[in-house]
Amino acid sequence: MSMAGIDLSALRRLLEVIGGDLEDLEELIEDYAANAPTLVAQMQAADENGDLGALRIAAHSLKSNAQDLGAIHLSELCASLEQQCKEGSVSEPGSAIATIATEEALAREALSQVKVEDLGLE
Amino acid sequence: MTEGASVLVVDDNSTNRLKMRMAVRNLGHKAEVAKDGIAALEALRTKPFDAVLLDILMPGLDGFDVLRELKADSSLRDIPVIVISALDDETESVVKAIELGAEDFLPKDFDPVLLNARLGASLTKKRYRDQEREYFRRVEQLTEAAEVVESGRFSPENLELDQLARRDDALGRLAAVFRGMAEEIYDRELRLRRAVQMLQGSLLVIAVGVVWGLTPALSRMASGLGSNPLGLALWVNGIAAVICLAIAAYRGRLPKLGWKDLRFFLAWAVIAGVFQRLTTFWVTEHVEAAVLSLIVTLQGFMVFAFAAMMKLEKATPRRLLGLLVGLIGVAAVLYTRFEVDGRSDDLWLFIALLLPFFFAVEGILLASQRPEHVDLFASVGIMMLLSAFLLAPMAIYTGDLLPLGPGITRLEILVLLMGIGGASSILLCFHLINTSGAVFASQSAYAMTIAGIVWGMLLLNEQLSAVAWAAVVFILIGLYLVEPNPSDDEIILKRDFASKGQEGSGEGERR
Repeated sequence: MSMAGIDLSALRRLLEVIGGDLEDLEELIEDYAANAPTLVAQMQAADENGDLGALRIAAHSLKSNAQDLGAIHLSELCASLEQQCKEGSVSEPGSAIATIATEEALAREALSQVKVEDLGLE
Repeated sequence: MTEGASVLVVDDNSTNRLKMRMAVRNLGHKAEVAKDGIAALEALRTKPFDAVLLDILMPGLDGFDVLRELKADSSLRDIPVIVISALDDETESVVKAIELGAEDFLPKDFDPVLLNARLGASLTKKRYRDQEREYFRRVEQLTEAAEVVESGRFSPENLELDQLARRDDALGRLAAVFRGMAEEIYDRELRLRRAVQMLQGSLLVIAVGVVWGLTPALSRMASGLGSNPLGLALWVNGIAAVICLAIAAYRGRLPKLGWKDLRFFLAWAVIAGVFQRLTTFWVTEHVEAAVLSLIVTLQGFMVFAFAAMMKLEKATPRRLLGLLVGLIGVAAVLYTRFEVDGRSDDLWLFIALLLPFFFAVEGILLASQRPEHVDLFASVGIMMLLSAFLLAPMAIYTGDLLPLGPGITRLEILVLLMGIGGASSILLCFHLINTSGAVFASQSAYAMTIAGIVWGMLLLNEQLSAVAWAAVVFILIGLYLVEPNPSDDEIILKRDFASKGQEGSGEGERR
């Protein structure tokens, strides 16, 4: 049940968690779309400052949001970066963040294509 | 049962906050959000919350810091905290959070049923904890009331059990019974104390009257031995001052006086030593003695009016009736002694009213302005001394100085007796005002009038008339109706319930 890299079952699950209101889900997607680029920018800034803690928190947040909204690949990329931060060293953080930025843009685009009204609870 | 709870969602991630808020509202609760640890603590300290959903990984104050702060704050430590965690990689964090006092945890990708179950369980526990705290608060309230009774000083109001006693549970019934029994003890002790106060006050009123009533008789005897009123007053005040100050000095109670104290004593001396004395001298020459006695007894009504205006004492119809009953008694006995010889005219009757007025002012002054740190004997001694100093220039000016001694004649003994009598009557009167209030003390004027008649009759070997006896009964009824001004509504019990209980349990253990 995947569409343009988005796991629709995750979105249905999210819809169930928030009580089934489609308008609420749209609001959540809009909130994600507004915040995801900010989180990527925070990762880039943290990398430039060599701040592993900040990098970990931004990766953690994007991981969690991406998972909720069905951007599974993006979520996995963020989880990997978060884990490396936790262990204390990130190999080629710039490259990892660039990959995340690309995937985030793709996921956001894919999400914008999702017709929320078609999700409906089964 | 736990619906409609107030839940605080704490997460630095905006999308997560939004999701959690929607999820919590979906369960029928109210949700508020905080974007970091500092905002969370601020919200918790300003509003009541029933539960907190707390993210651990946050910049600045993280979830652990928030937990530590919450658990260190006695007013917040009972709010259940559920930490939100991605179980896959944060198991250690969850363990640490629970060790720090978190109630439960919830995975990030939670199921709404799981959120409902964990939030519901935490809220139920919180509700039980709140009930438990409320119960202990009530037990504490009851214990405090018991301590108030145990301390020995209480009135039913300061037990503060009204709200608790209205509750329809076991503790409420216990509080109601406890308060009821405490009220019974209070009422009984209060009645007992008022009865003792009444008896003491009445005896003092009679004693003041008897001592005071002796003065006119002694004055007449001294007058017959060639004394004059002003010179006599100077000696009497001087002797009374020496006696009182000597007693105060012997008891080590000679006071240091401030300007305010001196002003009081000077005012007292002017009113009692000069105004009363001079008015008496002038008026006795123009107003018949029995009429004057009756006028003097009006001081009770004047004191009553002053005390009511200044809110010094309770002014009830019962007390006014008591004063009236006493006045009727005195008026009846004086009526039999009126001699209408045309000596009294209206102007002098009006001037004679100054005498009870000065007595009333004196009573109110003593009741309201007395410096409490000054000893009773010292107070009377200072006043008498000051009034002697005030009378001396007048006596010198009018040539009324009364030379006494060095030989001891009947006059010297009489003057000494009058000095002792003067000191005693003012000491008794002062004590009476302190213990029973100015209104009750004012009735000593009735006792004085009757006592004056009785002394006169004793000296003249006359029989006491039935009317005089009836007057005494009237005065006693008046005393009962006026009753002393209650000085303190708190009851003092000298009982130690706790140590008795401990002794009892000790005996039990020995058996």
